[in-house]
Amino acid sequence: MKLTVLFLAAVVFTTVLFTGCEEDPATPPQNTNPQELITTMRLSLVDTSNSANTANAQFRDIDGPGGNPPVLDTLRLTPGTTYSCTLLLLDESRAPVDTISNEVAEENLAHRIWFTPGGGVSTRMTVVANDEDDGVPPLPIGLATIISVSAGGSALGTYRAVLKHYVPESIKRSDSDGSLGESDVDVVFPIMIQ
Amino acid sequence: MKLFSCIALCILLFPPSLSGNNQGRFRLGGRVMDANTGDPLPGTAVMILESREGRNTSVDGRFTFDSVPEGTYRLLVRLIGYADDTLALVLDRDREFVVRMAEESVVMNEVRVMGNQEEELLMQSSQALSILEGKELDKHRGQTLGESIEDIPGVTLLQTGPSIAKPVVRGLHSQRVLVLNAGVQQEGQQWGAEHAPEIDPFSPTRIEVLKGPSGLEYGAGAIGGVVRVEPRGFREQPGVGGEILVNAFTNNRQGSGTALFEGAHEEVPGFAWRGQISYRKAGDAMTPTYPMNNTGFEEFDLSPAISYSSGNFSGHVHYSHFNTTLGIFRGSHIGNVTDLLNAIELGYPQNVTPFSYEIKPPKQEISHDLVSVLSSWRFLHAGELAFQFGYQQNHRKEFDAHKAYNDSIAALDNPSFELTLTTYTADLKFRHDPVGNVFGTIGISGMKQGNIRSGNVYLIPNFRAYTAGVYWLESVNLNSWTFTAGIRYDYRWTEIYPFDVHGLEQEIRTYNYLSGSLSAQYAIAPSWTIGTNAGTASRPPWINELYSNDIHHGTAQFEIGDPTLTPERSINMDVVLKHNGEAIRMEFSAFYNVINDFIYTYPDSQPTLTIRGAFPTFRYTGTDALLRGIEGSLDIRATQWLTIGLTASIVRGDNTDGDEPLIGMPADRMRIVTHFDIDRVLGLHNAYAELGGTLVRMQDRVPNGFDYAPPPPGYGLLDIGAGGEFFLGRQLVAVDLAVQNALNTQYRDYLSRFRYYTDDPGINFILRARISIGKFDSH
Repeated sequence: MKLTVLFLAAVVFTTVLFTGCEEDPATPPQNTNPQELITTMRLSLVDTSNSANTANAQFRDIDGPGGNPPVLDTLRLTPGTTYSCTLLLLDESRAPVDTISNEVAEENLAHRIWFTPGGGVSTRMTVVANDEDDGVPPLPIGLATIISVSAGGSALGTYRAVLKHYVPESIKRSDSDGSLGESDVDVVFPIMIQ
Repeated sequence: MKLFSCIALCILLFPPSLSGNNQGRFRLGGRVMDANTGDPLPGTAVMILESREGRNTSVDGRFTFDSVPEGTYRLLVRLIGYADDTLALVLDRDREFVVRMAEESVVMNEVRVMGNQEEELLMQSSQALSILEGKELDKHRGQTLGESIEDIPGVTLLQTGPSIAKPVVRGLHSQRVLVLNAGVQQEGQQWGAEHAPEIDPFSPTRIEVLKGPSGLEYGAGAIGGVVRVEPRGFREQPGVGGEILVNAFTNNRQGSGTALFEGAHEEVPGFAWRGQISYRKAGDAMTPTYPMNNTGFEEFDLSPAISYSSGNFSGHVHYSHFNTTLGIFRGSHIGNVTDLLNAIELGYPQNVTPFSYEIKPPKQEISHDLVSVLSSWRFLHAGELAFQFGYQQNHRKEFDAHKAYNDSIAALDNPSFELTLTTYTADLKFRHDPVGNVFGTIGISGMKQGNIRSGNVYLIPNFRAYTAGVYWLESVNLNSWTFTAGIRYDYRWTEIYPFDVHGLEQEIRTYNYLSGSLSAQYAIAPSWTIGTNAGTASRPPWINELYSNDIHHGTAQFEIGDPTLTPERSINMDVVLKHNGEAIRMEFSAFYNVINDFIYTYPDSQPTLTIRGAFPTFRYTGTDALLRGIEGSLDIRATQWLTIGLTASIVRGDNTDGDEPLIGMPADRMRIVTHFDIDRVLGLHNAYAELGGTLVRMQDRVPNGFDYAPPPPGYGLLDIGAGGEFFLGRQLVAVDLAVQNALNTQYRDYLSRFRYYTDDPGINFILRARISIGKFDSH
């Protein structure tokens, strides 16, 4: 009988011991673990012959995947123009805002941004990289590009920007078309040439 | 022809001997149980009349006389309240008996002595129950729980690489198959297809698989079946003994081992203790042509336990700590759908580095602590009352391959999500003694659970849940018939606290439902039984099915839960035919399972747009489903040394509402094994050699629009095994050598989560050694 009681005491003892270490799900978390979210991709284009002629487009998903849908701008370009384009990646979920693209530039040997015009603008645009990584021989990074829009009528299409991350870095050397590596960012902007 | 003459030559050179040496001493052991209820009878006096050597049966009714000279004996079995019984027996080898005692007040039934306790247990259950223990289990010890039971008919595996394997029972798995460890239901985020049961694979000495809805006694999580993992019992004889097992695998260069010690001391009668410690470490798994990078793992487990029994009381306390780090195949953490399609088109991993033991993100780190307290009281002429208490804490961290860009955040090495699940369970069960020919059980069980999450990736919110269930089962024996009826009522209360989660409100949901079952079993002939089970079972929607709202990395899908889902209701029936003959053993079952409001993920027409690209949206929804199939096993002891085994399983799952097959159903499979018992060879005794083949058909029943790649082709695998025992001094050593996928076949299994990216593992040579230490009480 005495040992029966001892056994039941083991039950109570365990409960008390472990309950003490237990957190309550109803208590809001302390949020001590900062997390990163790439929330924004911004394309800033400037006409190389006329700095007043600019074009901008932004993909912004402040609350991350799910929840509120992202806000996606249409990129409007004029025919017969050459633009210099800067790509910016931001984490706007934190304060101060973190500029992810700076890190991409630092880790340039393992990253590359690939651009693909599609639909009705595929024959009207050419994209050439305007930056180099630290490799030998150097390969483009893609944060700075030169976009040439041919002369002609209006056209509608898509402009896709994909940030590829290469692990191990050597894969970047073998990637000729952006089909290797892991996509960290993949945004398709609707584009209008008029 | 060549193989045959080779075998013939071996037999001539090393003739298998029929029995042990002539001046043998053998083990006489067994179990004493109540003839009507089948319950073990502890404290029963068992005495060999010739030598006047006596024993008392342990808490589970067992007795052992370790070393008895060959001869003829009479065994007296005596317990107050029961009629004395004397058995005459011949001891010319190790023998196990089951003695069934009839209560004095009941009309005396003939006491049957059967040769094999497994045989006896099988005859009792009308359900499709498979048991894995002894030498069969030893051949798998050290492999994951799922892999150990893979060859049981009706069981397949849902694998996420070589280290994560979940059992699939008759097409159902995860939150539909309950895993019990040391009597406590394993609660460890089992809803996740990549979350394997957190159990030390060296700990079980017996694994039971109950196929088909078993919710009546175990609750909602058992709607598909139950896998009961039983650790070793406790030592009865005074003294200390132990066992050390060491395994080596060539495929992933795995080394693993366990050390188990147990003891009982005359100074502290009634007490026994046990302690076990295990360790496993492996590197990358190898397919026939390339390594699967980052699939290594490292695991450490510890479990002490003590037991006490005296008179009518027995109890034990068991604690286990499980800790593992699992690498997830690098090539499976793709960025988005385009990456996935590129990977499928490429057909092999794009970046392959040489074999390594290193485990980097993506990886899982899990720790699981379990405390199980069981106490039972035997009330003579009334019944047995058992109280089981469990506490567990499951701590899971998953690390994404994608490191943060920001250096200071990256340096923190934070997991992409962290989940802590704390569960208390309590079960009170009263098994009453027969009233006439009627015997049964009434039970009440409860559970309290809390979950806390953190991290960027949201899978399930914080929640608190309470469940309570009450059930009643009665069986009646009428001549060769046994009828069983049972009923159960369940109540579940959940409250979610969605901190930092978009679009969810704090809310409370409750569910209640009734389940029932009817079984009939008929003994057609002495070794033939046929049984049929019919019933209803329910399963409330689980938290992930209600509140999911994020990208599921492994499948490149955005999954959205539905808080308005209603419980699944299964109406099921199966027929089980069993035969336990001298030379032939057979079990054949057919099942038919209608599940209304079956919860699964259905592709939505609108993709979810994220900065990483557009992901197909899958919503949790309910539909009407039908699962049916057959499974069977046949063992033929063709000669004293040759046994042929055959198993097969077929499952057909359909979404009857949508008029299409269900996604993720196991393919048809079949296995043939030829087993040779070569009693003595090369200085080993109890030796054997085995040749097995597994055939898996292609799964050609899949719905459209659910999957990125068609199911892989069917395949066949060959495996070889051999082993034996020898004495090292006075210690018994058992060695086994096995070759899995002996032909180094290149294949991909449909239920492998990695089949989009890589082949399954190739050839694997396995060496196992088991050393018994001291006076080991083997049972």
